Amino acid sequence: MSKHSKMATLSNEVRLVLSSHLAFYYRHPWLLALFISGLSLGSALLTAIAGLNQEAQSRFEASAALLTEPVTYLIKPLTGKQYIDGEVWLELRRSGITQAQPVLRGTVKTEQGRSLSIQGVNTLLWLKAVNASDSQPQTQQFTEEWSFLRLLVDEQFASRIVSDDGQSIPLSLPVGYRQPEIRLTSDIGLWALTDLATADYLLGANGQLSFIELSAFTDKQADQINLIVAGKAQLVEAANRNFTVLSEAFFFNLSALALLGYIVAAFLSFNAIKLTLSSRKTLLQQMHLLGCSKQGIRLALIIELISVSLFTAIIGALCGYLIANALVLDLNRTLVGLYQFDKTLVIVWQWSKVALGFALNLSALTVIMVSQTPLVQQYRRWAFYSCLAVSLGAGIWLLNEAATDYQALLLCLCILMLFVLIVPSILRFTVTLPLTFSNPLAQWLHADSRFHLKDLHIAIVAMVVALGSAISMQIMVNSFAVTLDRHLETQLSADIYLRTDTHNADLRKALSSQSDVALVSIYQQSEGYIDSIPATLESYGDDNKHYQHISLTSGGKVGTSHFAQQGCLANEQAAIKYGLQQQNLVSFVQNDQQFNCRISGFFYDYGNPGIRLLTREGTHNDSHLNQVFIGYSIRLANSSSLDRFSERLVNEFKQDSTQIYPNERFKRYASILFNDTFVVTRLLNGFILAVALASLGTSLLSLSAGQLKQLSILHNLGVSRRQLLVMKLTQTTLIILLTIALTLPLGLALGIALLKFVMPIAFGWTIHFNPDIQALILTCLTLLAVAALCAYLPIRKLTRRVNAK
Amino acid sequence: MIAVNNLCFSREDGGHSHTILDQLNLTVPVAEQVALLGDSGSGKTTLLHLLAGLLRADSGSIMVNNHELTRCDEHQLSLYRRKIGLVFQHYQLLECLTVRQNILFQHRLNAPAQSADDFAHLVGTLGLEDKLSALPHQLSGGEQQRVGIARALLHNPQLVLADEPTGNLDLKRSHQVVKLLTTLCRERNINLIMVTHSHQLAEYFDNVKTLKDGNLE
Repeated sequence: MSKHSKMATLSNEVRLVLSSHLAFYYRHPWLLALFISGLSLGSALLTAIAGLNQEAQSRFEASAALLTEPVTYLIKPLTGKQYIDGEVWLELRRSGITQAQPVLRGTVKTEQGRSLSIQGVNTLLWLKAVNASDSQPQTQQFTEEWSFLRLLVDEQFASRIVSDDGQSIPLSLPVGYRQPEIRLTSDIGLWALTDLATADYLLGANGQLSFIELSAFTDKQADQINLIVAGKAQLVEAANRNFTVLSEAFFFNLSALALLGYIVAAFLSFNAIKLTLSSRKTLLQQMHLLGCSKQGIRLALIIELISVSLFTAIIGALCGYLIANALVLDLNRTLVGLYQFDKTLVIVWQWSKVALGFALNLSALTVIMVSQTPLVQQYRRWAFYSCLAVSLGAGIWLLNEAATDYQALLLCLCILMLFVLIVPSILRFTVTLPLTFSNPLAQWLHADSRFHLKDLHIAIVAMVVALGSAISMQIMVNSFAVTLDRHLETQLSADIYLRTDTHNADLRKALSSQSDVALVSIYQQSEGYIDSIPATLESYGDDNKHYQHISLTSGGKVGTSHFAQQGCLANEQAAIKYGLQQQNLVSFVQNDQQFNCRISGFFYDYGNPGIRLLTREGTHNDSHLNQVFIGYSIRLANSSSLDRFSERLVNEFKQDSTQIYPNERFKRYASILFNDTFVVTRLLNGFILAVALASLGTSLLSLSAGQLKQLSILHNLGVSRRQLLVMKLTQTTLIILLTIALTLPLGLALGIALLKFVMPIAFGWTIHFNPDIQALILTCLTLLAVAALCAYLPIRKLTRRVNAK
Repeated sequence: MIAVNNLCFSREDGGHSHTILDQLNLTVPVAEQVALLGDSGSGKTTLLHLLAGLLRADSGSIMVNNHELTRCDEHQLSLYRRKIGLVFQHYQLLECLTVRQNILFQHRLNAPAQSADDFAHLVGTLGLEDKLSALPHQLSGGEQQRVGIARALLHNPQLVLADEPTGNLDLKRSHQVVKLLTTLCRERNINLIMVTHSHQLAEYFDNVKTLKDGNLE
């Protein structure tokens, strides 16, 4: 046969086989839906998180001054200073460095007292950037009628600046100042946009700048820039900014969760694929008998594999896009709260995510298909023991040695792997228990469970993995919430917090001398770096009594010895995440100033990704570091009334009422911030749980579909519907109870691994183990409810079939 | 004793009502063995399923050993079915149970505590002694049908209904199975009603009835 005719025969065969496969899917739409939905959901989760992460990074690195080139360097104010002298920019221009653009940021208040963050940029550059891009049609319309006194505000902040009747709310400006024209638009973000001169006018910045963005420049220009900024500002590499360093753990955590979701979803698909393959076995055998070559059948399977991978990747990316958009608000709140991320995330369609999903799906499907080949089946035992040995060995090693994010996560993966490997063995052992029943129905139930459990074990493994992960997440989130609550209770022990940006010694003295005041502490901080890691140095007062709300990891109280001999306290993160040890001498660097101290102890500190040092007020003041004064914390005498003292602060001490925060309000803000941190985690967790429940439901229903014939026989032989229902309920309940029994140890093991390894290594926080018993019970009850439904549905189907006859 | 009076049964088919049995009357005295003959679609299996309580008649009455089936509810019909014996063309064995468990199934359903005295004799007669631990899929068609017969007879029913039990067997095995079935039923004074297409097999029965156009000829 010629090569051409061989190809024609093969292509004909492949077409024939493919059309048979299509016909199979046409007749089994649910199997196809299960197959597709499993892979799509998995890749959706991964692509959603990957998309959010990439978007956050690129948004953070995007130019605030709307430079068309990527920002490579920033000229920032000296640490501890808020502004750069505008002269720096003029000097840069004079030196021929034109790829530098100034940005001025600040906050203005409306007459209703609401804050609005504004950002001034070079308008001409902005107009050029908008005109060059057709992707912002809404903003383009404003370029046509641009005025220098116009303020573009994102629609999401409309309520701050526009009243219900559509009128602009005036800004609180000095007498005689002109009000800017307010225009609402989309995708502007947190910072309302205006011309640099207008921002200067509104903020009263007197020619000062917040930062200058720089795009590509030569080495010679770099030397020039360093000379110009020396002592006035600092040149910072854009890639090394705090956000990337600090948010890494957060996105790592989400990515790990998404990967877990993919594993669960792949299990869901594995079940569907196995069903599809076993259902098609006869079909493939028949095709082979009728003369189709193995090559043709294999080729058709490969084409199907690629098509399904691509199709599910596109659906997954589409779902991922929707999920990312649904999560973007919560994520944004977290990024703003934890990492001072100042831009609105806008999720755009990314083809690279389709490619990622395609690659993942193809790999997962290939692994599943290959695992079903006779050759692999032949070495299954060998592979099982190898995997078991590797997982066990690696798990034990990591238990003692895990020191990085990836190693901590690998430990979780080892625990998961161990369970994946041993669960089928436990199931096999359970069903081979030599139980004897004289009741024929119990006998059938036992034999049938044994018979079908091998079909169900993939679903049970998927459930164990998904539920175990979900339970561990519940444990982690609850433990964190409980720990945080206790921490806030001691940390925020003052009754009133008074915010003010200047230290007024007279006010402090006057407040301290009041009979209804027990203690007045201050809160001042300096920003800087310890070995290039973002750090803050803080002080609350000169006496030990100002530091008694600090919880030391040693369990003791803060005493004189902690601050003696250049002593300072460091947060737990410094020890766990950044490897500092007690008695270490550290150098806190701010611009060209250096503050050296000896770490005398560590304290618990949640929510701060960087290093925090505590020292005495006097030592802090003597350090010559730039400081920011945050305010006072006031503890009242036992008999004093909070409301009455707040009133006195306003009337007698002439303090702004909006700057007085009672303890409860402060705690609420702190709790909201931390709850936001875990909103995305909770949502993803819920999603994984939903996928797992879908997996369980479909597996139990597919088991029931296979059982329908057997149930009909039992019915024909005189078993009543009630008895059938009781039997099915008993069977599914036992399966679920067995699943729960296997899930709880996994959930606990993973929860402990997350609390003892992942959280401390990734975030630097020690969290005490606190399982959420209520949520655990609720999860188990949900499972039982799904099981009951899955038991009832086939009986209903059988009844309908009988009635239809 | 079976008495069927004015039995009507119809089935909805594509929006039209299709009459299967029309005013059918049948009387089968105690222990009589009846072969039901008829063309495909004549209503033989329907009549058998009505006698087994698997279908409900549109009208008429079915008296089986003083049980009026048409008045029984679902639960009563279940209890009735476990008292009779059923033999199917496709054997209807429980695939996860062994041969022993399959044979004992209905007996234990009726009398969980009672030992099956006849078990050894029946199994011996049917030649299944060596197959008791096997699973149904490990047996030949003839063997599976013999397991079905053993299951149908072990609990000493007064009525055995067999729906083309030889439909999947060759002629030689068909004769063996029918001979065995009729002999065992005769020994135990059991009413046997068997649906078949074969006139040759019908010769083993006391009475032969032929169904045509929804009624007996």
